[in-house]
Amino acid sequence: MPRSPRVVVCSCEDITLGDIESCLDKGYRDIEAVKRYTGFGTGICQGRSCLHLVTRILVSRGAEDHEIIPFTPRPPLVPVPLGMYAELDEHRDVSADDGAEATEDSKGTER
Amino acid sequence: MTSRRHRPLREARPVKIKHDGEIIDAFEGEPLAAALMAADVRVLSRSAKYHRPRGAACGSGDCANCLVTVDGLPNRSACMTPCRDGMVSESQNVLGSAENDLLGITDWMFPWGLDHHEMFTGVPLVQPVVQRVVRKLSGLGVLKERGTTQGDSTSVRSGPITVDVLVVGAGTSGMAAAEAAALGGASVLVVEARSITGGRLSSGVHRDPEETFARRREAEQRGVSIWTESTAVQIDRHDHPLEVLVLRASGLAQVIPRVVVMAPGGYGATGIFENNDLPGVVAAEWAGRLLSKWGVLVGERPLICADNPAAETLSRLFTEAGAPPARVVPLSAAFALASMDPPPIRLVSAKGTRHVERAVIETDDGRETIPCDVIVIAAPPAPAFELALDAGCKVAYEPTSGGFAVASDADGRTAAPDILACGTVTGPCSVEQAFERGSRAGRMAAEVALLPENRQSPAPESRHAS
Repeated sequence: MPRSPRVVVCSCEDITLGDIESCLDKGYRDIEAVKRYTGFGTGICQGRSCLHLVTRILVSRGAEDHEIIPFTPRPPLVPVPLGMYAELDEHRDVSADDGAEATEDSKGTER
Repeated sequence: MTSRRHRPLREARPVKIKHDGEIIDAFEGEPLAAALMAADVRVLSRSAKYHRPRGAACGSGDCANCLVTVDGLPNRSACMTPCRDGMVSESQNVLGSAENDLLGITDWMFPWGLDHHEMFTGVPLVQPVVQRVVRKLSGLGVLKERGTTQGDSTSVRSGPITVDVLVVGAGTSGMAAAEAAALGGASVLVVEARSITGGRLSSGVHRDPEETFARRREAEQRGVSIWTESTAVQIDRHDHPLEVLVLRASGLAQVIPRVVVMAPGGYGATGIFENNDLPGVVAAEWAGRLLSKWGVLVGERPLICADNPAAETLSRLFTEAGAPPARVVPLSAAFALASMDPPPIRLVSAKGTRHVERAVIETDDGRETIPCDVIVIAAPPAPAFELALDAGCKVAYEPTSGGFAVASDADGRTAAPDILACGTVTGPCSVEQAFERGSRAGRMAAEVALLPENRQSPAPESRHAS
């Protein structure tokens, strides 16, 4: 049985060159649209290992400058256990509900 | 079990770790992926969708190919996790074992791929059933009800750290910047994701000027603090003009710098060809670091995909280790599928059941199968631009790597007045250029950080609110 070659361009989500090409065939040509259609760059690496591969492919298929704009990176850069953020907030003693006074207190102790 | 340990690490303490129930000899501080490679464990996990075999590929924590569960915490990059005595790791996303994963049939059941846009979408009754099956088959599974965080969190409680200059990355340009900033009178903290400093120079693939280490010693003597195994993960401007969160084994540390020098380097690439995700397709710097730093030989018959000078250096490294290259082909061969004009030599495919056993190359005269057990690719790194972009810098397409480089002037100044950038993050640069630009950015960083208006403690606006 014939297979489409597994040329993996996004290893988090197993997105292949074939997926990118069928996306281009449907008319999604810029980085943002290709990301939204295929889901590339939405895995654990958040684009660190795949964005430049997909961009190379789009450029080689004639993408124009305005189609080559990176999608917005979102923090954290690498996976962080949520508990670590909780610990940080515990220490900061600042939360959205605290008033200005609490903020001032905690800032005072930080210096 | 074959050992790929080429030479023992005399300077490191031997420890025992456990991987998938097997006790493995390792050295303290070496990356888990290096210890597993030394013990000939080449398949570390399976991919999310097709359950394809995966092993360490980039060696810098930037791809998803070596994710394992470490001491109960999932999705840890084995290439960035240092070995500690008694550490327990497990391969992820497998039914059976990583070598023989029953769900590996997914890869064969869907020869034309799985397009989630066309999986009975919109068909009543059928769609939810298919979705359930697909969800069961793919994805990284269910998290344990209670996760564990490594270590204790005492260091987090020590509170935010204020510093004049924070340097992100302890490679060539980062260390040069740190030294120059310290010389300019600034207090300096360097954070480095790896357990070792030196960036690309630690791989042995690039020339190693004596100067690097001299600069590091110099920087340390000037009171520069260097945190290794510490990744800057987030940059905010909410409560302070600049606030950077740094992920360390002990938790998140909050750093409040006046100026940040971005020198995080770039991401390695492993080419665009069939089965480019097969264990044994590796970035040159990872292969080089495994050999020169951790004494582990990644393969005995390497196919080297590189241009000079990296091609020569890699050939020499492998030959000296008793593993002369099976073939050396130009780097363009690995990116033939994304070239405007097809290069004369094209790497078509990596072949092998669980790891690389052969490579197929193509010229205008036809195809040739080359027996090899590793494909080493020396591609220009794609700039690690994310934090800089988040902090207000501008980026532009950088054609040699396909990535995006941070726009900066010769002194490292960017669109954000309190962010400077140097080294690979600003585009391809030689070791000499990285030194030069790092030093200039470091001098500029000290100058900006010590300006009278920046010297005042950052006062939060909320103080006078309400």
